[in-house]
Amino acid sequence: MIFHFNGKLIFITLAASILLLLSISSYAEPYLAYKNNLKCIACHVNPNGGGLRNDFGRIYGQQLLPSKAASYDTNKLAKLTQFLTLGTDARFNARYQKDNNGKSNQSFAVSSTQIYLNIALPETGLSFYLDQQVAPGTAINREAFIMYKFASGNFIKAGKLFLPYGLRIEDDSAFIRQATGMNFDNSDNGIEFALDYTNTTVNFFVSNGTSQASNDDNKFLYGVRAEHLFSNFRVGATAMLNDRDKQVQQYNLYGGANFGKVTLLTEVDYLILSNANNFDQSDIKQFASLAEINYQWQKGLNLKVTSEYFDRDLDVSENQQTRYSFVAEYTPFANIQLRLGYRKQNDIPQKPQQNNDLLFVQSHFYF
Amino acid sequence: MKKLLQPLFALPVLLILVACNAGNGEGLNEQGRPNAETPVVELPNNPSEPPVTDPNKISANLTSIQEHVFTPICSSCHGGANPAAGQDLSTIKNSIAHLINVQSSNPLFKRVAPGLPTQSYLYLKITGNSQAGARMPLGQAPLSEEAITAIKDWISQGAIVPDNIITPTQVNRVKITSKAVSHNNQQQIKITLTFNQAINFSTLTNEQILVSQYQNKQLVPLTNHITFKVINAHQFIITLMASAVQTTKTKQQQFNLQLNNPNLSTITSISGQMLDGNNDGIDGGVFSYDFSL
Repeated sequence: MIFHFNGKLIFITLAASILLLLSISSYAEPYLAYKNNLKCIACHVNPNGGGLRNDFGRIYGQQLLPSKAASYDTNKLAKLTQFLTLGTDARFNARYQKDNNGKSNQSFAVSSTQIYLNIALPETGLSFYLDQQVAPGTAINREAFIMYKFASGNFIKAGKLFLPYGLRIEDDSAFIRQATGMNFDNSDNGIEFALDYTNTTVNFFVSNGTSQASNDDNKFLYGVRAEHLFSNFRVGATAMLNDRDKQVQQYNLYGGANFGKVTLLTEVDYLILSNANNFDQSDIKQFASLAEINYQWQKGLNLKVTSEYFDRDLDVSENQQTRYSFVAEYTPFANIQLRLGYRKQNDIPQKPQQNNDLLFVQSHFYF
Repeated sequence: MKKLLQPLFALPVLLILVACNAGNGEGLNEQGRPNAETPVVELPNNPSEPPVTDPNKISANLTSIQEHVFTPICSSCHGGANPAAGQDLSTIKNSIAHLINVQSSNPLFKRVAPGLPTQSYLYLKITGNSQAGARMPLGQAPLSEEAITAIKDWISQGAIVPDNIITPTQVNRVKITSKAVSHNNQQQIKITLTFNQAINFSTLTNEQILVSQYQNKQLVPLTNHITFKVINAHQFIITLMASAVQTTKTKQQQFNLQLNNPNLSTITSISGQMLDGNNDGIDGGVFSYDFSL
C-alpha cells in the first residue's frame, strides 16, 4: 500500500512538474512597459525589447511581477561575469483546438526555447548579442548583432535582427504580426540606428527585406519608427518600404495608456502590396488591428482581453477575420508564469479550418 | 490637456474591441477572393498531373496541394507583406520558386528535395520531426493525414510542377546506381534524371548525352554503349558501361554528365520550352553534373 501510494505520489509529482513546464508560447509583455511607463530598454538588453533581461528586468521578474517575491538573486546565475550575461525563455504548450469542420486536436509541445547571450566590452559601448532558439529541433539563430551605444544613449546595430516595428507582441499569430511579417519568426539582416532621447526614441533601419534569406536582388527594405512617452501613455508610428520587385509599404500607429490597474494597448496597421493581386496585378491594401485591455486583479495575477481584426483586402467585401482572446496570467513565484487562455478565431465560412476555438494552458520559464 | 487625451485614447481601443465582425464570405471563393477571380479550369486535366477525381479531396499534385494547403493555411504567414523565412507560398508559382531545391534554414536539408520526402524540410516541418524545429502550421492544428500524405507523395514522385505554369524547365533530381560486371572488369552505370516538367523526348538524342571520366584531372569522354530509355514523361535513364579497372580502394572514380549542349540541340518540354540546364532561370544552358562512384 505504501509502495502504491509512493508510486502514485511520484507519478503526481512528475505529472505536476511536467505540467508546470508545459505551456504554449507565452507572449512578450509590452503591457508591462506601458503599465510602468518605461521604455523597453528599462528591462531588456535589446533596446527594442524582448529577449535577454538586464539587471532591472531580472529584479522586476523576481520581485515585482510574481505573487510571491523571490528571496534569491538570479543575477548570480545570469551574470557569468561583469561583462558576460546569459538568459533564457522556455515555453511549453498544452492545447486543445476545434475547428468548424468538427476536427479537433490536442497536444503537448515544446513551443520554443531560447538562450540569450550578451557580451558587453568594458568602457567601449560595444556589445555582441545572440538570440538562439535551441528547441524544438535543431538550433535556429534568431538574432546575432553587434551594437554600439554612444554616450548620448543613441545606438547602432548591425547583423541579424528583429526590425523595430510597432508593439513587440510575441504572439506571432496575432494579425498585426502575422500580416506584417514583423514577428519573432522573421528576423532580417541589416543595420539599425536609433536616436534615444529622454522620452522619445526614433529608429531608422535598412535590411535585405528577404526575412531570413540572403538578399535576392539589389534592393533593400527601409523603415523608420518613432515613439514618445507622455506621463502615463505613449504613442508611436512606423513607416516601412520593402523595395522589392513587388513593393510593399507598411504603416502603423500604436500606443498604450495606464489607468491604475487597467492598461490599454492598441495598434493599427495599413499595408499596400503592389501588384499583389494575381488576377489583375492590381495593388492589395490590407488593414490589421489589435486592442488589448489588461487588468491586474492582484499582484501576480493579470487578466487580459484582446480583440483583433484583419481585412486581407480592403477592396473586397466580407472577407475579414477576427480573433478574440481571454487570458489569465498567473505568476505564483519568480521565473515561472502560468497562463490559461481561450481564443476564438473567426474567418469566412469558406475557410472552416480558420474558424476555430482554442483552449490552452501555458507556462513560461524565464530568467 | 493630458486628462483629455487619456479618455480619447481609451475610446478607440474600446471601439476596436467590440466593433468588428468576421466577413460572411458572400461572393467569395474558398481562397477568400471574389468569385470572378476564380481561375477557369480547362479540361482535359493537365497531362503532368493525375486526373482530379474529387475537387474537395487533396491529390498528390502541386495544384491540389496549393489549393487545399499552401494558399488557405500556409500563406497566412508565408505570404503577404513579409513572408516568414522569406518563403512565399501564396501562389503556385511562388511555391515552386521558394520550395523546390531551395536551401532550408537547416544546411542539411533542401525545403523540397524531389524524390526524397524524408530529406525535405517541408515534410519534416509538417510532421513535427525534431530536426526541423517547431511543427507547422505554427500555432494551429497539424495538417490532416490526407494533406501530409499528399505532400509526401508529391515529393516522392519528383515534386513535379504543372505544365501550365510558366517556370523554367529544369532537372529536379539525379539518381546514380552502379553494379560491377564481373567477367570483363566493367561496371554498368545507371543515371536516372527527373525533370520538373513533362519533356518532349523526341528532342533528346544520344548525341545530347555526354558522360566523361576524370583522368589525371582531365575529362575523358566515355563513348562505350551509352543508351537511354524513357520511363515516363518526366524521367529517363541513361545506361553506360565504364571500366572498373581504375577503381582502387582508396580513390573513387569521378565522372561528369552533360546534357543540353546548345551547339548540338536543346531538349524541350512538351510545351516547347527549352531546358534551363544551368538553373539560371533562363531557358537554355548546359546541364553539367559531377558524380563519383
